[in-house]
Amino acid sequence: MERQIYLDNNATTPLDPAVVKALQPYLYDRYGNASSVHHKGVEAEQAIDAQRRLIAHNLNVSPGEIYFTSGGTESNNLVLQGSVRRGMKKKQHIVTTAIEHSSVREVIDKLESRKIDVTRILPDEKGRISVGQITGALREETVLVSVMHVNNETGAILPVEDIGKAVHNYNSDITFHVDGVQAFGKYPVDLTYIDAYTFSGHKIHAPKGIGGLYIDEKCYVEPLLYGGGQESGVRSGTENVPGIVGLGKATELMFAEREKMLERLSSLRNLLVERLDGIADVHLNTSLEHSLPSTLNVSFPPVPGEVIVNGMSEKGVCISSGSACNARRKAKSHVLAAMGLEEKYIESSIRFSFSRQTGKTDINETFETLKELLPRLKKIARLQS
Amino acid sequence: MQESEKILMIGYDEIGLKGNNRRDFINRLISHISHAAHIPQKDLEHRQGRIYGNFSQERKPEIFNRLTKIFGIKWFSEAELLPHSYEQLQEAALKAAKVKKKQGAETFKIETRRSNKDFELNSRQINVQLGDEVRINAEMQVDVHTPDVTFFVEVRRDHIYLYTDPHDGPGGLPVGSNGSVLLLISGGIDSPVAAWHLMKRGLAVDCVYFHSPPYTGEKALEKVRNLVRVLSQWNIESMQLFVPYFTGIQEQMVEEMPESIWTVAQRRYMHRIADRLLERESYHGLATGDSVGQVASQTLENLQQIDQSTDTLVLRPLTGFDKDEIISIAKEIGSFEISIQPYEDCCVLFAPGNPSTRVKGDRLAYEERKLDDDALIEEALTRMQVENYSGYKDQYEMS
Ligand SMILES: Cc1ncc(COP(=O)(O)O)c(C=O)c1O
Repeated sequence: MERQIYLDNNATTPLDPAVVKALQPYLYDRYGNASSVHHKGVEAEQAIDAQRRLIAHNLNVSPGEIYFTSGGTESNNLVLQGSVRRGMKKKQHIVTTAIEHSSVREVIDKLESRKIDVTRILPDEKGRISVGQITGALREETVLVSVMHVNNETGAILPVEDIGKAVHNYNSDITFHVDGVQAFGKYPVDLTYIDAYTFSGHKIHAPKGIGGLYIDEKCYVEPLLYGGGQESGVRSGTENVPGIVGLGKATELMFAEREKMLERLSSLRNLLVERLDGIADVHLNTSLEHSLPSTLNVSFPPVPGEVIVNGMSEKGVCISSGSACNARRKAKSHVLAAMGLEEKYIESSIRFSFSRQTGKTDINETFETLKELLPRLKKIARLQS
Repeated sequence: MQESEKILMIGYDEIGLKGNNRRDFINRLISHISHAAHIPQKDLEHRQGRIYGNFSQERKPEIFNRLTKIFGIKWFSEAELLPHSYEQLQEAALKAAKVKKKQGAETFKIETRRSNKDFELNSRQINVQLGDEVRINAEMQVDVHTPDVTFFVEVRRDHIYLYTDPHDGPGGLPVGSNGSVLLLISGGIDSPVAAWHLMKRGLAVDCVYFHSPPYTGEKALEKVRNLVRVLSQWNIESMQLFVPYFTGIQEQMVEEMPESIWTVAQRRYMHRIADRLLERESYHGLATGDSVGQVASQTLENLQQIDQSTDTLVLRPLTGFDKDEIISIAKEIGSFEISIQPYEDCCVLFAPGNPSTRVKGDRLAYEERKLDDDALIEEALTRMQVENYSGYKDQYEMS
């Protein structure tokens, strides 16, 4: 396979060469354990602290509020499991949305099975969730609110800053968590009224297996892992120094180029939408006004999304149907279902997701490939009753 | 005191084996043990209805693991090799008993077989004397019905063998001793279990999987590869996977044929393609994972129509099995977890909503005339991928 076009950047992104260059020394000469007292240890510790300061600076918080973890899944688990007290006699209540990533959804399902009340807010048909919907669900027993910043399947942006303010006004003891994995580095965020914010390296051109979590210094989160007491005791385990250095560099690059990138991706997405518009029966599942331009979710009924993905893959174009994790579980997209989409649109949905490495030729070639592929698939798909 | 000598002892089932058959069986079994467990042939020896092997203790877990997957082995154990001396037998048995006692065994029994009639004591005498010794000096209770541990004593012409805890082998016949078949494998639960049963009866198995990109994806093919990797461990030498290109046939089929007969028609084309491979590679027959009556393709009427698409023998080892039985074997052989991964081996687009359970032969003949059969089958074979999986070697390699 010669040509490779990668439009599945919400699943993961390729490493940026500058990130590789920054972390490489920490794979070789600077191999120290940050807990060691000797100069090798100090070297590693300095590198970690520098990245912590860099990320804190970009998020406008203090370095002591940034913790490194193995990624988005762990960060989400840490906050959600760690901020709900166990064995409380008093009723506890959680508010979340029906469109969260599995690493939030499954944890909250688990908590629910331990007799904690959960309210899941449904989005409207454009994937939006309003501040009023969240505040309307708050109760005296509410201890935790968890709302994602940007949805991984549709790109929908949720008003987390306003939700945070409203939740804070209602009861400042409530922990407000935001899964920012798809937004971090791509979309600005003001953490003033957000207690915890999750981010992950591999969605922003850093390696897989590194991520982080902002936790407001006023919040207490019970650790998941105990041991050497690293990360101020919140996350024990010898630090992934090369990963952290890579995450730091990737963060720096993302924040520096953010506005330019958003503008560029916006025009790229518009170009794709324009061209797709010429294809019969195309259905947009992403609301262009309310989403991050790095994602476009569309359907081509009656062709199953997975068949389109397979066909595109044969031609060297990587896209996905639903979310990458869903494809494995064969579950129909819970996000599109929550938006109330018709079954035929859910089953035939595909997702293009872009990154700062995506160019105009990628878009044009992807479109041409799709245009060439679809007629045959549509013809076959229509033959079955 | 020097560590006593340990030897590997392998038992097989001799029933029904005579003359040349028996010799072939034993030679094959020895060669399979050598190949799969990596024991040089010179370290394996057949004597008096058993196979003995020299091996190093540090390889024991690996060797034992592999012996559980060699068809033809009924049981195996590690035995202590002792001279013809009752004193030494008693000393070794007592030592072994004390170890067992420490591990929590409370009750025991002694089971002696004597083929060397020159030995000073007969079987019963050994059972009694050794039993007393262990009872008194290792402080264990005799229980002849459900003992925690059984000490097996075999007095043979060359040595006395003492062992406990024989492990079950998989039984059956050495793979390949009854010929070879080509199995139609899908990603499902049944066909790998069918393969296992065929291998158990001494058939060497290769597999054919019908791939139809883009309607079935790379992941579905990878799932089948993983199943073949698991199965190839039992096939000893290696297992071939043929992957014909099935897209052309399916596309023309849905265009030309009524939906209700798709299921049977697809199966007929699969059998015809497999039959071409059978001629080329000289298998003795085809095999499938069908059991009767689960789905439309498995009614007797439809199975008959499927079988009439070729002149070849088609084995269906799961015909009489319940789903539960199939699942429990799948779990045992390690294919279940792979089979239940959700990647479909047949796209929903080719699965009729309402398949006929009783397709008529003349109807099929009429409908099939609408397709360019020969060209499509030729295309399926020219665009076929052939892959080879060799037992344990490929388990850890990435493609
Ligand atoms: C919204 C969202 N949250 C969490 C995660 C999990 O992140 P990670 O892959 O780093 O565990 C992902 C990515 O799959 C995501 O898209």
